[in-house]
Amino acid sequence: MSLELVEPASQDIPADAAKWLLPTPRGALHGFSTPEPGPAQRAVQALLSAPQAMELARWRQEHDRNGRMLQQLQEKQWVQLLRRQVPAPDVRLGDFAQHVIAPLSGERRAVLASDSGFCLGHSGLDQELAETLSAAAADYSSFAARQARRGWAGAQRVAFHDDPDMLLPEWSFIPLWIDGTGYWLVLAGEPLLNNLAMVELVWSIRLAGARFAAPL
Amino acid sequence: MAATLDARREFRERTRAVARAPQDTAAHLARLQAALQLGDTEPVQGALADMFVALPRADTALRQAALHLASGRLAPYVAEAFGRHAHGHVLPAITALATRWSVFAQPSADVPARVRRASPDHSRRLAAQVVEALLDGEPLHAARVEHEFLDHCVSCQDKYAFMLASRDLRRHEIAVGDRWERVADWLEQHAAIGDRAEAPTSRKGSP
Repeated sequence: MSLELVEPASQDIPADAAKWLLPTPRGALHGFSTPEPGPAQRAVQALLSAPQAMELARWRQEHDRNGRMLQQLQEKQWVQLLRRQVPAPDVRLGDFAQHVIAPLSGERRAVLASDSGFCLGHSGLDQELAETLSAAAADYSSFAARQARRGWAGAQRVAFHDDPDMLLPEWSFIPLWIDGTGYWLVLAGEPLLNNLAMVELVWSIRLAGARFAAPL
Repeated sequence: MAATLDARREFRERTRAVARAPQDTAAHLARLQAALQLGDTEPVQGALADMFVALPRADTALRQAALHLASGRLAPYVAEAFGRHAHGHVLPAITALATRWSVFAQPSADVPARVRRASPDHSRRLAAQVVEALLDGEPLHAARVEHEFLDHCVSCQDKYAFMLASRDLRRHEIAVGDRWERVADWLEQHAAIGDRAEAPTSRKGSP
């Protein structure tokens, strides 16, 4: 069994040499950060709609007709050009969630909740605490929506601290909107969102949603 | 957590400092020193990748000094990869050398699934835990730890953790169940297929 854990550093790939495109962790985080995505966010979301990374040529045809979107997303570092095909996570959401959300927390303690307060997956903490935090996330969803109606859109993400200097968060609550449904990531300690687990999490939720959607 | 709370707070404070001043050489070096106090490899690698991405590439002496400082904590092939960028070659902002602890460099998806999903630090901890449980643990606890470990190896395609645990269990002459063999075959098969294969639609066939 060979161990090729880290490949040589990837080089900048010219667009004409790349065949596929995926969001970066930053792209996944920003692309699914609002219930009303703009054109750039929709273009990022489209990349995670199939069981494998989207072919660059197809994406350009569907989302980059004027040829500027790719450049715009690359400037933001929201997308990455790839020389190899990357498949979507090949796992059922229920048990995959616990593996994919844990590395998003510096303490490997994390919860994935729906915005209505259901615990969809947890790792590193007991069921009771996971359900309490999921309920707190639902409360915070209502709070954020109420503030937005009053005209303050700033109540979107929140971190709770035990330390008076507010350096290291105890829990961070990060909302995601995937195909019109709200989710919360609740992370203990350092939130480590610059993480390929972000891409895999969003991708697996999207595919699970598509798989279980009622037939038209 | 291997790291103490003080070390984590120090690293976080230093991370904030480089986020405020990305080209502050002293701030990057202080952050790298703070990462070295954390005990794991990932924060050190992540801080070094940030330094290579954020600071001017022409400052080769600084890069080489930073790499020298960190190399004892890095896997040899990772140190070699950094070494190739320590003499003036640009390290792209999206790179396989970034880790989840990086703030400027972003991890590249252009790597095998096991690299996308597993961390070497975590793999080593999980392998040590399952070996300890199977050696000395109470049977029900050992069975639970073993089940969770093998689930992790399959979900994350973490053959590094699997290999470490298997090696140590053989060394201690601990017999394991059939599922270990099935997981070994499955991991080997997926390593051979790699990411070139089309993604299957279900876990049919997983051990």
